[in-house]
Amino acid sequence: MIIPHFTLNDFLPVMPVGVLMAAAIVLMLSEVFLTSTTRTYQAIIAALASIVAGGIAVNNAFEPARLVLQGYAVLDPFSSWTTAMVCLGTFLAVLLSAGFLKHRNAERGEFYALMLFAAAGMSLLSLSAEFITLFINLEVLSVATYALTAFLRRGPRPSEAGFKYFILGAFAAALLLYGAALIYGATGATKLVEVSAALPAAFAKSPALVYAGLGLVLAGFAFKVAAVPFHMWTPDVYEGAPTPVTALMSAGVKAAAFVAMVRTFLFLVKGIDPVIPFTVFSLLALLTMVGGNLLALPQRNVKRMLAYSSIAHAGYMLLGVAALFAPKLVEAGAKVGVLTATPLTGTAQDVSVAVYKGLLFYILGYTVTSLGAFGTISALERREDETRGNTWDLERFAGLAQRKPGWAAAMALFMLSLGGVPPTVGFLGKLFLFSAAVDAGLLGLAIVGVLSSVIGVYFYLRVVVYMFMRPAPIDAPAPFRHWTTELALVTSAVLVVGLGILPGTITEWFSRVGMVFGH
Amino acid sequence: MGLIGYLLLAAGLFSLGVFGLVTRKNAVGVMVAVELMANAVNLNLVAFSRFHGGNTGQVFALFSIAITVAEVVVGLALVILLFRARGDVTLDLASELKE
Amino acid sequence: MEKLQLFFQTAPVDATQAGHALWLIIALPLLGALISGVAGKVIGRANVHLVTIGAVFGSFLLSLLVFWSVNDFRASAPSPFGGIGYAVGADFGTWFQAGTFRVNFGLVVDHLSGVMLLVITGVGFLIHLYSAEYMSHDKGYWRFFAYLNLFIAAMLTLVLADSLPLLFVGWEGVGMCSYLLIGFWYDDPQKAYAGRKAFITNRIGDFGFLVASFLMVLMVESIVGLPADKLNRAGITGEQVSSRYGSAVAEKGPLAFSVLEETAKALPNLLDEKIVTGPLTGLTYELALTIIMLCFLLGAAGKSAQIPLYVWLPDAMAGPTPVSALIHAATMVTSGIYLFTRVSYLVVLSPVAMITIALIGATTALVAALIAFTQKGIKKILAYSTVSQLGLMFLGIGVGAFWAAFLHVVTHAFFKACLFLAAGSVMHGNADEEDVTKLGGLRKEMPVTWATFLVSTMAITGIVPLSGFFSKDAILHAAHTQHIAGYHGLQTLAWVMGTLTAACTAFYMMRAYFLTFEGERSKDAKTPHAHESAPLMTGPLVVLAVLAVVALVHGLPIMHMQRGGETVTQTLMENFLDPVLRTTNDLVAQKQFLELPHEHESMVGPWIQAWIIAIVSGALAFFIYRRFLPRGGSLQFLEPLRKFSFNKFYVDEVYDALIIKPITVLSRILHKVVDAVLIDSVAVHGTAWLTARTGAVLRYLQTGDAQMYAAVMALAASSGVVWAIFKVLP
Repeated sequence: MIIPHFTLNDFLPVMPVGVLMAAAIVLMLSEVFLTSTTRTYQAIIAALASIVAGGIAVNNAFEPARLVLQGYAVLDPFSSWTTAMVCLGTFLAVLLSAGFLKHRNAERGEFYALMLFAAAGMSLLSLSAEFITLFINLEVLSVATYALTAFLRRGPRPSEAGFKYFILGAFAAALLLYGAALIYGATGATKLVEVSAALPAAFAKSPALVYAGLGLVLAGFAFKVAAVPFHMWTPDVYEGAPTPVTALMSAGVKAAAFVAMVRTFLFLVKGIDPVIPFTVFSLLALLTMVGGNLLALPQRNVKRMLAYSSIAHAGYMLLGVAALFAPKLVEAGAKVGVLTATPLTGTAQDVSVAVYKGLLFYILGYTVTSLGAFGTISALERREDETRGNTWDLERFAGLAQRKPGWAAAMALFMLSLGGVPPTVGFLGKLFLFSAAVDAGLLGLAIVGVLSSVIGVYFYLRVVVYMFMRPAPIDAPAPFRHWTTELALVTSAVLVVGLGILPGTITEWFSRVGMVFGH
Repeated sequence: MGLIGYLLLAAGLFSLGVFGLVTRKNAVGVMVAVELMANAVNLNLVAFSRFHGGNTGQVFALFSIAITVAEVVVGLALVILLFRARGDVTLDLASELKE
Repeated sequence: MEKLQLFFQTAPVDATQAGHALWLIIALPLLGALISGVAGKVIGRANVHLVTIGAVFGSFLLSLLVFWSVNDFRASAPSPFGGIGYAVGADFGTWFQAGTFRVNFGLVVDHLSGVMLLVITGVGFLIHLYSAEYMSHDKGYWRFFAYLNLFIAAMLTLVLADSLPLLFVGWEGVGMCSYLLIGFWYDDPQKAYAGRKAFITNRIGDFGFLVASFLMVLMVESIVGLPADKLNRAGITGEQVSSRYGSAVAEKGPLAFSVLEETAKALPNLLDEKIVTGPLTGLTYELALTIIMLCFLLGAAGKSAQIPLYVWLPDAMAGPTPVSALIHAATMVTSGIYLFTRVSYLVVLSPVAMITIALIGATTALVAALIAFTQKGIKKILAYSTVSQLGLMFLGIGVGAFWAAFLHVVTHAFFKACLFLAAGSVMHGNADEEDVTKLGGLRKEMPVTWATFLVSTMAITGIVPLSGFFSKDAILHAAHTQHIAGYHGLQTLAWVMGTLTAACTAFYMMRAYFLTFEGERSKDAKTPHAHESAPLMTGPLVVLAVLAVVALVHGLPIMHMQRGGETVTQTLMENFLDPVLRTTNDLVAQKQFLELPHEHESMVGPWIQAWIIAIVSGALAFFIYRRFLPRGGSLQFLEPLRKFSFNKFYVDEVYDALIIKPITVLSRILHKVVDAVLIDSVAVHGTAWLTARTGAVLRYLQTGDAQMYAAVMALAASSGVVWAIFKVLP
């Protein structure tokens, strides 16, 4: 038996994960050995762990891109930044949870441990470069989130959400696994680098096997990123899950799945007619952008509206992904169409740098905004309403500006950012992503994106109108107060505005060349 | 029976799993269907492993089995939760979370 | 005189230093807004006043310093394209960058924005003072002051910006503050509705602005790609222009004003050429420029309340009166004029855009003046008068008299703010009575308010020698003598309408004055005796009234300068804005789209003419409202006309009938038809409704049945795979 020789270099990318997991284990042990009644310290431990992990990840982001751990994982800025953003999301979600759980007498160490395990799964997912690793990490992340979804055991909703998520997630995982198996069958390899080397030959020999494999892998990812028509679980699960968990799912899980999808498919499209992946991603982007916004439109339940809106935002990110797979050779006179591309402006290198920057910045912006929006909701919902359906009704927001102007202002800020109104980070994210898409020749799709985001502005502003222009109902709920919740909301609000006004250095970091290994 | 036979068998099993997932009304039955799908893939993996030589496919299959077990544990816990909340484990149309 | 000039031209602050401190001017009120908004309830009324008023005053002082530096002859640093800049500014680095598109965070003050700075912070400061008293009974004072400070910050961003995107940030910011302040008393649904109306109308305008900016980027990029020999112009070779232009675009971004100015310099030789690259391929540069200018016109019409988007401004009077004075009279509504003056070098290259702007302005001016004839609310009268005056300013822009339009912005800011504040004072002293027919006889009871209102009324009426006369007359004079090439007839029409407006203005303003202040107190008055307002309110009134008179110096033709070997006499304002409008003037001389009068005729003729118009219509108002109808009522034979005007020419109703009703009727019909086909009624109220309905229908697919979801997923995955396989297999 040969024991491979690993150096510290190899473990660099998994160090943040190590920190997260160690902290998770400490938290589980603390639940057994410490019986203190106040458990805010658990949140603090978890928050500190995510800060440390995030710091290491940021440090890693300046390492040159390379394969590590014998080709099972990569160390590149793309995955490191994702890890950092996942840690940021986890940090905020943990802070939100502290108050949320305390308010419900449900503070338990497992909760934070599960969150940290999920975060570890997310960051591992973003750096996996091999199918077995990819599958395991996807499951680490999924199993932790299944459990988190059903963590609050009051009433039928959490269990229903948890079980739905579990069944559909397991189905999606099975699809991905089947796809991976078929690709393995066609190429004889599971490491992405080797797969991509063997793909052209395999494609010539058995195209059906390869296509079936690619399609199934894509279906598995599409489920995780909630692309239409694989989105249907999203609103139900997001609504039923405890709100801080929803926040983490909408930000972190999606970010990790996106990055893993991009990485995997960058390797898997070698030797394939470039029109096919481009058309598929464009179609997914189109359906997701339009579908998500249309579905959110009639919602009066704000939490559900945000769930649909997270689908729409996944659509915008898919637009970026489609831009990445835009065919590089297009006739000069190509017509502008929704699912076709016009020639690139500039070199393919420049365009892909712009797309990576757009994607990462969008993910960052969406992470802080969505954490903030779900966080505000989580503070407003009352424990005794949990079994009733109207906890998140728009009417609950009426007159919030009079009662709690600070909360209303924060919520308005998050809504404006989600709607893409300057000077928030949401606007810049859209600007970067859409302009990168236009540079990549996706003019038609970008226009659809802009139009669909106009629909979005309507339902985001409706919340603002309710908060500022409607009288408050008599039984209006007051938000509970807990310093961690307030810290998290202030942090997100500051980031939403700060990044919206001064994105300078960060966009520079995000637009370095050599962002993604092998591309 | 050549490789094609195994592939067809696995595809059949997988489809059966999908069919069970979509039609079974009992939560446990649905979980069994999901297991069936996972095992169909395992069959595929092992067959490919034999076809290509080497042991990557078998390792993949072993990992897949282990992971599925972990998944099922959480799944069963969720079924128990569902049972506690509703008194049965039938997946009927009348759900709380919709539209 | 010489010494005085030297004093004004030697600033105590170095221009570079002043440039780097520009952000402070915006930051101060922003900080004030933050403190007042977050902690206003806790720190109490006095502290809120201290913080917010102090912040604006600080900005005012800084603006004075900066303005001084702008005038410093030593500050005349060469601009990147040669020539002299006369501007103080600083570039704070890249704000954001997307692909080749880049925006810098740069602030700049030149003579144009310098004047705006002083108006905004100065008038803003006075109105803050006034509000401290006016809002003294309102519980939401801290919210009010936070919004007001935020508005000042946004408006300052608008004028300090050195690029269109940053200007748009301010543009949106002032729009949002205006919306928040109109709906300040949101518990009244009528007022909240007015806020929404303003919001939606402004969104239409913003759409125009955005499209214009977008097209502008495309045009700039197409010029960057041109071969160098197309860019030759007098005194400089195409290669030089091309390389400088390319590096300026790369360094400052395509929408920086310096780049736009250079674009305008390159355009005269290109106007008839076709664009060969980018999405605008096939259009000539002239056509593209005209489209861009018309889109900007839509944007400016939204913000500056011009036809067809003026309907929001009168309703905006629902907000507190100081807000009407500051935002809806003095500052925000003039941003359209500011925008056009800023890009005047582009305006003069498109005669079609010019005549459109002139006609829109003249029509708006006349229509609004006619509506103002019969309005009863004192604020309504002033609101329509504002729309009308803004129309005159647009007329000035359209005929290429940028300095005159801008002078009118300044004088109008003084006398209209004074009028609004006086109206607020009247309402404050009369139990919030707005109806002029229920006031009357206030001259003795509110002497200060009376005096200031009278001065400002005379100023707006255009009585010599108050400031309003000079600015208004300069616009009308230009409309009469400067000819837009090819549109003489239409322009004469615009001039006639403008002159009629002047007559109408005199009439309705005197009417408002007579009904409010002269005669006896109306029997319907809410209180038997009015009381004069506190000094904190009358103080700003007096200052503004004085300014409304003193501002006349800007309109005096006292500056002599050498141009082309001959001595030209210019008014102070024209001379002052010369550095800003230099490119514009050069382009006018080069392209001859605008025919300037060859010799300056004497101004005495128009002066007398204006005087006669003002006095005759003023006297007419006096006779009608003081002699024939001292007790109210109306002239029978004019009754239908009066009704027509009182109901604002039924414009709201016309919009309702032409746009909203047809959509509703159509949707009713469709509703009936579709209803018969579908069990669920899918009504189609226009696109918005359709979208909403689609969403509403789609949501029913979300049955909550996990197995159905799984089936959809399985179907989608398998159809995708099958499609891909069929795509490759023959």
